[in-house]
Amino acid sequence: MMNHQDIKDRLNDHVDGSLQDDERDQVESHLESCAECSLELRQLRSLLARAEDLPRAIEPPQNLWREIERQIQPATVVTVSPAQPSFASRFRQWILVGTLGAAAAAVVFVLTSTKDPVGGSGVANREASPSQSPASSDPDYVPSLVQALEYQCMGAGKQLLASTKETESQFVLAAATAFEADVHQLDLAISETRAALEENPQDAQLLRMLMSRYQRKLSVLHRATRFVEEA
Amino acid sequence: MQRVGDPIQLGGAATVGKPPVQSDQSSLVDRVKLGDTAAFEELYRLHCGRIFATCLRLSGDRDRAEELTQEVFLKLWTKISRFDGRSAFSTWLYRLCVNLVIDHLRVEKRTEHWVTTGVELESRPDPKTGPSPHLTAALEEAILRLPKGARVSFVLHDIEGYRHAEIGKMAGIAVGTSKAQLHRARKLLREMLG
Repeated sequence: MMNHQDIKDRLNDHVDGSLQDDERDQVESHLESCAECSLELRQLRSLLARAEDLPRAIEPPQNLWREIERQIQPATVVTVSPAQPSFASRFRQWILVGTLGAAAAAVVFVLTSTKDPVGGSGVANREASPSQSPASSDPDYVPSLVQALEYQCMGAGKQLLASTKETESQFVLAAATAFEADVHQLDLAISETRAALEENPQDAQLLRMLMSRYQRKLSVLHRATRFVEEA
Repeated sequence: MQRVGDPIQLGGAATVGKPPVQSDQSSLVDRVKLGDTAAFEELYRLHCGRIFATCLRLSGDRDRAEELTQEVFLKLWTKISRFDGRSAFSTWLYRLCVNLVIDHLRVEKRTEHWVTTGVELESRPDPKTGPSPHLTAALEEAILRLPKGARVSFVLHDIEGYRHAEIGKMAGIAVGTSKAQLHRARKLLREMLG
């Protein structure tokens, strides 16, 4: 026989309809005489009713389509003047590199993958068996994380670009430019790793190296942004 | 309760379209598979509200939700050729969306716990990223303030209609953990909403 606390602990399961018959009978019997549990049950049902009434859709605050459309169009190369490219233009180029990289990575991995992208693949399965080669049994796992990192780099690059637009300080811009060398080196390393992966798409070590380099690039971009914003 | 893949009820936004009948949507999907960007824009208009709502509620951050919404559609563009019609397109798309957002949350795990065990709430609202007038409902705001693990379980179970087994699989947590996080979310929400 369940006591008051046992019943309280099962109220969520009761509203979800996941109790066994005998447990449900005991809960319902207890509710007839317990004001506290009855009140909690009413509050739970009220909460779930409110959740059910939430709008299924919320309009995005900006027209995101334009950016999506830009990214799915065939890429155009950003022309950077060799004489004295601005800081902003160089960052735009990095963002473009990220975009092209994401597309290239997608092509590489789509070609090597036949699994449905949404059917049970994911980090959870991967981490459950760390000894397996990431590339061999769950081809979507790595592209998903690589793309996540790619897009994070793109977002970080955009954030840095936005931050630099808000400052007119030549000192800050000059200092921020110093981060460029790091990013440039990392982009070269990323390109090399990606090229190697095209040759050996099943190489788990290369995949780990690629992810590590994206993480380092992300870290540099975040540090640069913090510097600009705090300066 | 709305279950995953049920016909969607889109919000009243001007740029968000009416729910398409399945045959129309199949035609759109087929055209997108052939690289038709106009058809892709139609698909975007039909689903962007639902995708944005899911990204916002899962991530708990408006700016982040915009980025994630873009990423979902960019991923859709590259993956749509793999949609084989065995499930409803909306079911497939929303699962793709949830998987992508959860992958992002897991990448962020390095700096914060994916499934927190503490009771601290997310600090909200920030004047720059806080809820807009679109999100004035107290429940919406309270959801955004939930700790990440509790928020994900609540959104996926009580709003999106996934079952604990599915949530556990997607989030890489045990079914019991998903249930515990859901119960914790409900408790915190009841407290926040009075």
